[in-house]
Amino acid sequence: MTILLEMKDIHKVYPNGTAANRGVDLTVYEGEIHALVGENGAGKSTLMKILFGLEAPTSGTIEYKGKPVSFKGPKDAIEQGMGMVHQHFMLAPSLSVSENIVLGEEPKKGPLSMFRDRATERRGIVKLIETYGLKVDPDARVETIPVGQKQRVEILKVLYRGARLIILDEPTAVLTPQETDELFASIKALVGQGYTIIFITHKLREVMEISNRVTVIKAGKTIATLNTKETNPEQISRLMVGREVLFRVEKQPAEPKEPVLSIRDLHSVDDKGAPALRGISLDIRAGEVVGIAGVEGNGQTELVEAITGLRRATSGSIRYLDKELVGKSVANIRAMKIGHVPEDRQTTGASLTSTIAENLILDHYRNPEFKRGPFLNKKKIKQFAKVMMEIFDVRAQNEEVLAGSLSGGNLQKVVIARELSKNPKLLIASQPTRGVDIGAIEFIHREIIKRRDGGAAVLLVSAELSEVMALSDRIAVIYEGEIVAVLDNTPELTEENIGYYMLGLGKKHREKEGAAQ
Amino acid sequence: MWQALWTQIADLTLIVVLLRLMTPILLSALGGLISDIAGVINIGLEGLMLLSAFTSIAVGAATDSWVIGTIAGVAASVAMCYVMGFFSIKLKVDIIIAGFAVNIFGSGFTVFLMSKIYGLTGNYSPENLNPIPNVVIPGIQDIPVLGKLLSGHNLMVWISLIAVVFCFVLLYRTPYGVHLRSVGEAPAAAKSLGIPVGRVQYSALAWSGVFSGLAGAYMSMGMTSMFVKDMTAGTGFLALAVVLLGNRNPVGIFFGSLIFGLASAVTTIVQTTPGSQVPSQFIQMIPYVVTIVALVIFAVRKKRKLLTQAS
Repeated sequence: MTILLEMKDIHKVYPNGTAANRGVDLTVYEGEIHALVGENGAGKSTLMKILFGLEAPTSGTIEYKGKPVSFKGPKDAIEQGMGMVHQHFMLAPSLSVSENIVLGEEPKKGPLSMFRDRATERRGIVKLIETYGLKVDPDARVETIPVGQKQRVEILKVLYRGARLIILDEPTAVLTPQETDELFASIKALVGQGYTIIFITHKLREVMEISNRVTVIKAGKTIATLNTKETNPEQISRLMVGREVLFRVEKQPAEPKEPVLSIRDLHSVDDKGAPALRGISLDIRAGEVVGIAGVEGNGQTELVEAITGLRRATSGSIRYLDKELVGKSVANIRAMKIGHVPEDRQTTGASLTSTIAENLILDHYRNPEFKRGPFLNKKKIKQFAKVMMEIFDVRAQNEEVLAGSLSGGNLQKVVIARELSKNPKLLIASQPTRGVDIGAIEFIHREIIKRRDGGAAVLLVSAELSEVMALSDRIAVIYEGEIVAVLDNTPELTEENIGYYMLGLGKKHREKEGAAQ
Repeated sequence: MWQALWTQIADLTLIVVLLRLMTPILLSALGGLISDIAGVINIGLEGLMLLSAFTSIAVGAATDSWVIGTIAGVAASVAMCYVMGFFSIKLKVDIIIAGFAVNIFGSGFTVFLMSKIYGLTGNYSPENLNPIPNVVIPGIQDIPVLGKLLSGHNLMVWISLIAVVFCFVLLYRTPYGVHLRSVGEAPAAAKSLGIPVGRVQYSALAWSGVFSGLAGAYMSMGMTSMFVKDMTAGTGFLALAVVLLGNRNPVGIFFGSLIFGLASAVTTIVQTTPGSQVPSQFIQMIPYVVTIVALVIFAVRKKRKLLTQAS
């Protein structure tokens, strides 16, 4: 096997002193699928930025096709035959598929012409689509096609530019299991045609399924490069985190009691005024975790916002214990022992320009316990913050550190600490582990199960199907604003079963929970 | 009043007035469109037009040439756009604030220059102005209906109509147009493909400068033969409304401008009709009322479209 790309001893120290790469080695053979894994902040994206010429390495060498290279920008890298599919799609929504693919390299009518040659463009793209079997309508506007197809457009984009080495940055994060399977089939087909793939991910199941070799990065250093066949997920995760990680969340069977939250025929609209919830009915009982599974954008966000009072319900009812939540203010709802971990900790979950301590009391500062007359009781707040940081393992110098400077996992722990410190009877956790590293995920999962066992009702919304399956006792599948199925989470339940409903292919429902009323 | 209006419609005067009044709205709306599409919406159209209106008539009168005057006006407007681009693209000042600054500057600076150069405060009307000519088409001008429809319009009226086609071709038939659209919608995507986002945005602002420059030159040297303090009277803002109303495409903008031109034309005709019983203040409100009504209709329609798409 010939070496296609070799990055040796890459160091990158940012001007502010942060060392993102501290000696990374990466060797990629021609024609292989090479997985690159590591926790958040391990230095994967910095490494890719260096490879693409977006950042200059502090030291280290890059050899591509046997020659030393140093790219000044993505254009150089593209010219040399590299292509990157970004985690967040780099597409202009109102342009057509073909316009997006040729963007920046449009065929023109003659070398000096100012005009687009749309006939040649279309022929080229139809041929491209046929050659690689990446089916997508070239004339459709990108905003109208599903996520899986958008990703194909991204892949076609790099192929159009003649890339031989394709980097996929967490490509499955937004896909359903079925779409993931299709993507993997496409990747395998590409490798069959002699392409080389670097596959960045933190899902070890995918590493095992698709890669030939895997490089593990931890804290800016290459820990190991392994042949996938000779390793196992446990070993990889041990290398990534530096200790044993439990994959299965340990939990006893649920002992559900009385319903805490009863949603009946709930309707609401999204920000543009289009219907987002079309008659949701769902019960969540004390002592159980109900997970919402669904492709993002099917009403999950609106559902959580409607329950927590952030969004007005157009009709329907939400009963919490014996009170109606529809029409109540956010403050009122929060005062009723309802904890809410918002999906976006950066904008909704925490105030980045405030300290950890301030973030921890955001919900409690009216509490007489933290006040002295009309003023805040700094001493009490400090004590409280210290205790919380201890219990929830928030790693920071002290409680006066700005929340904005914390890593994703630590910030999420602050948010979770705040929401759990009020001993909620209902916990709504929206994407509780998004962008959080494996160690913190384990911790957060354990906390959620602990609350369940303590008798709280938990509503879990997550784009990670594996997370929903690991934590939930029952799984409600949402599709286009409706609950299309409620499934008991038995060991026989597979991702494919759920994916079937997530795609709107079937219905198995009509909550028989009216009886609970 | 109705009678007068009817006779003017019947003898096509309404159309002539309409074309006259539509031109500045159409030109500046096209300028606003290109900047909006590239994600640097230029709300300084008003100030740019004033700047160009003053510069072009001052230079035009001094050189006795409308061509040099118009070029000077456009140049002043484009130069201002580059300043705006420097602040908003390079120094990252909010584009709306930069646009407001241009509006205030355009209004204040032209009055300042008028008083410094000519010692005038209200308006400047040079006696020996050689204005932008009307295009009289020999042969056709004598044909009854066709003559009035096609002949005798100001050159800038024709330029504005050609500009619609030009913008359409530019935006949809050239790679540059696709780049403009991608830069406005997904700057990160454009950048990742090696499209120079900043430079494309500068160029978009420059285009808005060109079109508002033409509009300004027409206002002082074609539609009238003078510069009046704040003579644009909100045309730049009407143009921004037209950009939205025209669904952000050149053809839509043409029809949007027609509506506003019509409103202005009706206003003018009713105002100049002797014996009108409606207070002139009410008549003068028409274009602005039309703006509000049009935008409301636009919003309602858009919402309805969204709702039908979703269900």
